Formats: sequence, structure tokens, C-alpha cells
Amino acid sequence: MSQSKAESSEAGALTRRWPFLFVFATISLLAIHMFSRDEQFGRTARDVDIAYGFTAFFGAIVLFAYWIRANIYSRRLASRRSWYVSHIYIGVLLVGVVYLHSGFRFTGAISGALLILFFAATASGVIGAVMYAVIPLRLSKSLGEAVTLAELTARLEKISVEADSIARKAPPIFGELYAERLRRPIVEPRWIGRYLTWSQKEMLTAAEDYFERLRRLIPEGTAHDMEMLRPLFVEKETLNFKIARLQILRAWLDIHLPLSVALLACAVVHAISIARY
Amino acid sequence: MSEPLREFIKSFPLFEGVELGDMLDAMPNCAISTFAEGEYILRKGEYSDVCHIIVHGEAEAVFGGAEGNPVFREGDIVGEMALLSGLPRVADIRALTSVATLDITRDQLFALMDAFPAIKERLNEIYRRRGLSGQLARIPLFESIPRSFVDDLAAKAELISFKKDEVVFRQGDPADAFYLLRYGFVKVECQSGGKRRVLAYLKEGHYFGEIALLSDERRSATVSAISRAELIKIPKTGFNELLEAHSGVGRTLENAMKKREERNVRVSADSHFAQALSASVDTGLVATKSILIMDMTLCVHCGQCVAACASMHEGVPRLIRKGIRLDSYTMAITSCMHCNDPSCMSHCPTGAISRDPSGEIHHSDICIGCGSCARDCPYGNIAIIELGPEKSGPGETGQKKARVRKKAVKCDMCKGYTFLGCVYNCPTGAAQRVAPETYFKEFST
Repeated sequence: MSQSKAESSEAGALTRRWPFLFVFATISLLAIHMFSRDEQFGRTARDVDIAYGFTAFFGAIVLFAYWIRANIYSRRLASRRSWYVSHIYIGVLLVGVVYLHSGFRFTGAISGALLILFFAATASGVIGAVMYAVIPLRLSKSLGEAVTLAELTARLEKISVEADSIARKAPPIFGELYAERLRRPIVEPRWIGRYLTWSQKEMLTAAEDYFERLRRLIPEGTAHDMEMLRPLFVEKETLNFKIARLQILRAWLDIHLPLSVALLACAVVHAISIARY
Repeated sequence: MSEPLREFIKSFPLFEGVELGDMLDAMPNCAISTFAEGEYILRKGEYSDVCHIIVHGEAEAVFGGAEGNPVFREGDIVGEMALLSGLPRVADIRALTSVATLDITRDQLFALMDAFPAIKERLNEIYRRRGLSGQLARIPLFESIPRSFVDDLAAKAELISFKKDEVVFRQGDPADAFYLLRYGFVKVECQSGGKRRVLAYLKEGHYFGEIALLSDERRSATVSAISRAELIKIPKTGFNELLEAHSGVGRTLENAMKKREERNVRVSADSHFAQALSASVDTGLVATKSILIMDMTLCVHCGQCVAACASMHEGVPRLIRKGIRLDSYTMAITSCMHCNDPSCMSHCPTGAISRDPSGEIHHSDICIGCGSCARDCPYGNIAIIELGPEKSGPGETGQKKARVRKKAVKCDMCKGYTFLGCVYNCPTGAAQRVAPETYFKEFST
């Protein structure tokens, strides 16, 4: 059995060594800063500041390369986990490097924009790391399975088809009522904020209450058909509960990634302008 | 198969008294292989799904290159023990002259054993002659016992086989024997307070049944097979003789019994452990070779494992991120586990499923997508996909018919790559391929 293959697929030594590397790098940066500190720190471009700038630029490229790595599955380019862990550590280290490079001072339009973008990208990164540590774990805890947005959306579509099929087979009076007043609340999601504020238990209770209210809309004699829709409705609500949380994670990525691209572009412009100067 | 060869096969001691026509029905399409002098017929440590009957020439079993290795001649069978056990080969078999062999696959051998009790009895006899004493002597329990006594014990032992889910003995049964597991897996479970509780699983080389014999009580637990299992049954009289002659064995067994009883109490007290134990044993996960585990405390639901798998397998992922819950946060997800006793291989009409030397199970291109393997897989790890229409000859109406070609797909451990796509592309390390032997080590006793 390819146990060696399985082992080689896991995160390598770099992942395990990052905490030590991080401490070493932090101490080194502090030491260099202590010894090279003078009155010009953060005001003019000394050689050491330019070196920090190069380091920060290179670091930003490595951070951005994670996105490229994430989209290449079939090449041996170090494990995704190694990249992920490196991405986080390098991202945090860059805060120090950028401070040493600029003293966090705004000295012009480009460097000012660059600094703002850097703070925004870093903040979004930190928020993302926290979100990814909390939301998926809660999702796993309450629902206990690994699901993706695409899988959940596909299941929602099936629920819609199944509900329509039940309505078609029901007496015409129920079918008409379903089309006019029931289909939307039964098949379509509610406002995303509702799902985010509920716990799973609250969501299930709310779903049952809501279904009971819908039941009062239907005439006697069609209760059986309505009951057949109940499990689909509860499943739809559960799926939307998961979807709301996964959409938050997706939305975060839609913020972090453009910020990172803008940051890199701005860094390139900053580097060119400094070189020309 | 040519007439002289049929006659020749008929003369093999293994097949004596068996109707040739019926026998060949049980093993259609068996192949003949040839080996040059010095060439290896079987290699130590490798898995294979064939055994060989020597039709011509001589071969020897090589145990570390020592002199006096056993020699096999025409009519002798080699490689059947590893084939039946689903374990790697224990010795090299090398051709001493040019050798021709009749190759019998695992399924053919099982079919022969099921159809002809005489063949099964002869294979057991071969095992008794070649391996039983050695296997008993290798068990730590018998290490201190003189080989002559072990040989006597082996003579008294009965070889019995169990199919999956068959019960060896039940809780409350009278204790009549001591058992050693020759190969396969069994589970130990008990009923207490109206609740069924899995206590442990046992595998090749383990023994059981000693608690009731030593305490002179009825069976304290039920033992049943979780895969095809072959047992060595030592009757109570033989067991008592053993204890009388070798008090050391009795002390060892008593110590083991105490440890087992302490462990059973611990299992009963730890609900998480008991849940994981029960899930892994009841579903037979412990009897597989490799499991894709998802640690749900790390999973961020990004779907990269499936995306990577699809990307590396022409858009068709070989895993589904649902599966068997081992505990609150661990899941054995739906992906081929390369079982020790693979059910999927049993009814393949084309022989498209084979096991490579490392033990991995693969479908070859001759798969016709009949779905037999998918139906036989107890975990639902095989899917049948459509490959698109295939042009065929004109139909009855004269119009060309397009037949949709199908194929079975399952995890191939990323054959052709140096890494496993799902594990390599998981950003948090939630997906891991683990060997049950080590992962479930604490569940065994």
C-alpha cells in the first residue's frame, strides 16, 4: 500500500518548523532594527529600508503565489497545507517588515495608497483566518458533514423539483394553492441574515413554526399533501442554514483576493516609481 | 485448454477424485505462465491475486537464502496461503529450472474450495504440513514451548473457516475450545444491560476464547467474523494439556485475560472510544488497508479535495465527502479502502479488477461497466460512469445504434502521480490517508 505516498502527500517539515522560523525571523528583524535605528527611520530611504522594501515586495509575491498554487492540483509544488501555513506566517511577518520599511508613515499618494491597501489586506486576512477557524468548526459540530456550496445548491434544486412533483400529483385545489402561495416560502430561501443569527436548534424550531403557519392556509382534505412537503421544507431550511455560513466564507474571499491583487499592483507601481526616482 | 494438459491437471494430487469438467467450470480462463531458470515466480512482501500450480519444472521457496529450502515440483501449489489470507507473500519462490505454472486467481480458488470440499481439505492439509506448526510457533504465547509440543498441538488442531458475519461462538455458550486467528478479522462483542457493546477486534495471529476456559465459565462475549476468517481451533482437552505441561503459558494467558477484562471495563466507561470502536469494527473498516479520514475539526468545507481529485481524474472525482462517522469529529469518507478481502473482485466477469504488488486494487481498461463491483462494494466506493456513445454496427432496423460505454471508477490512489491529490491539496490537513492497522491499533487487543 502506498503509505509512503500518503506520507509524502502531507505537509512537510516546513509546516512544522514555521513556529520556530517565525520566532527566529521576528527576533532577527528586531535585532536589525535596534542596531540600524537612527533619526532618519521612516523619513528617508536608507539602504536598509530599501532592503526591507524588497523583502516586503518579495513576500507579497509569495503570498499572492498561494492563490496560483491553490488552482494547480496535479503538479508537485509543495503541499497545499505547507503553502497555507506559510501564507499566514509570512503575512504576519510582513507587518513587521513593512513597519521597518516605512515606519507606517504616509509619504506620498502611491505609498499612502499602498499602506492603506496593505492594512486592508492584512486586516481581511486576519478576519478570514478567524472566520475559517470558527465557522467551519461550528458547521461541522452542528451538522457533522463536509459539504460545499455547489453540493448544497445542487441539493436545493432537487428539493425544488421534488416539491413541484408532489404538488403536481396532489388534487388541483392544492396544486393551485401551491403555485400561488406555498411554493415561494417552501422552496426559496429566506433572508440570509435570519439564518446567520439562528443556532441550528433555533432554525429547526423556526422552520416548524413557519410550516405550521403555512399549513393553516390550506383547505381541509389536503393536509396529507402538505405533510409530504414538510421534510423537504425542513431540509431546505437546514441547507440554507449551511449555505448562509458558507456564503460568508466565500464573500470574504471575494474581498481578500481583490485587495491582494490591488496591493500587489500598487506595490509594483511603488517599486517602479522609487526606481525611477 | 489442450487435452494433454487437461489429463495432466487431472493427475495433480490437489485435484484427485474431482470431476475435471466441473472443476474447469469453477475456474474458466485460467492461464499458463512460464518462468526461466532463476526467475522469481513470487516475491516476498508483495500482494498478488493468483497462486500457481507447477505444471513443469522445479521451484524453491527462498527464506533468506539459507540452504535446505523447500522444493516444489510438478503438481505442487505455491502462493495459496497469501492468496487466501489477503496478506503479502512471506517468501520468495524462485524457479530452479524452467517452470510452467497453471495460474489460479483468488476467486477461482475460493470457488474451487466452496464447490469441492475435498480440495479445501487438501489445501488445509498442505497448510497443516507447511505452515501450521510454524505459525503456532511464531505466536508469542507459544514462544517458550518446545517445538515438539507445538507439533503435537498442531496435530490436534482443527482448521475452520467463517464467512463474513458468521458467529464463532455466542455469549453464554459453553466453552469448548481455544481459538487462534490464522487470517481474517473477527469482532468481540457482548450484551450487558440490554445494550450491545463492541469490545475489540482481532486479526491474524491473535487468539481468543481463553477467558471462559481459564475461569471454567460460559462464554463472556460473542465472537463473529467481520471478513472471511480462518481459525485454528484447539479443543479444550488439548488446551488443558498445554496448561498442565507448561505452566508459563497459563500465567501468560491469565495475565492477558486480566488485561482484557480491565480493557473491557475501560471501553465500557469511555463512550467516545466505544463509539469509534463500534463504528470502525461494525462497518469492517478495521479489515481494510487504507482509509481516507476527514478530521472535521480541521475541515473548512472548501471542497478542494474533491476538486483536486476531479482535476486529476478527467473531471470525475473518486471520493464523496460523506461516509462513516467514527466519532463526533472524524469521518471515514467514501473512497476506496483497498480491502484485505475485496468483495468487488468476487464477481467481475472480465477480470478487470486486480491487486497490484503493493496491495492496491485497480480497474483495468477491459472493464465493461456492468456494475457488479459497485453492487458488491459494501461501502459504495465504486461508481459507474458513462464514457459517451460508442458507434456500433447497424441495428435490426438498419439504423446505426449508439451504445453508451460505461466504466467503473474508484480511488486509484492517484496512480501515475507521486502524491495523493486529495491529501496534497487539502489546505488544513483535514484529509489524511491512514493505514487501519496503525490508526485503529488501540481498538485491537
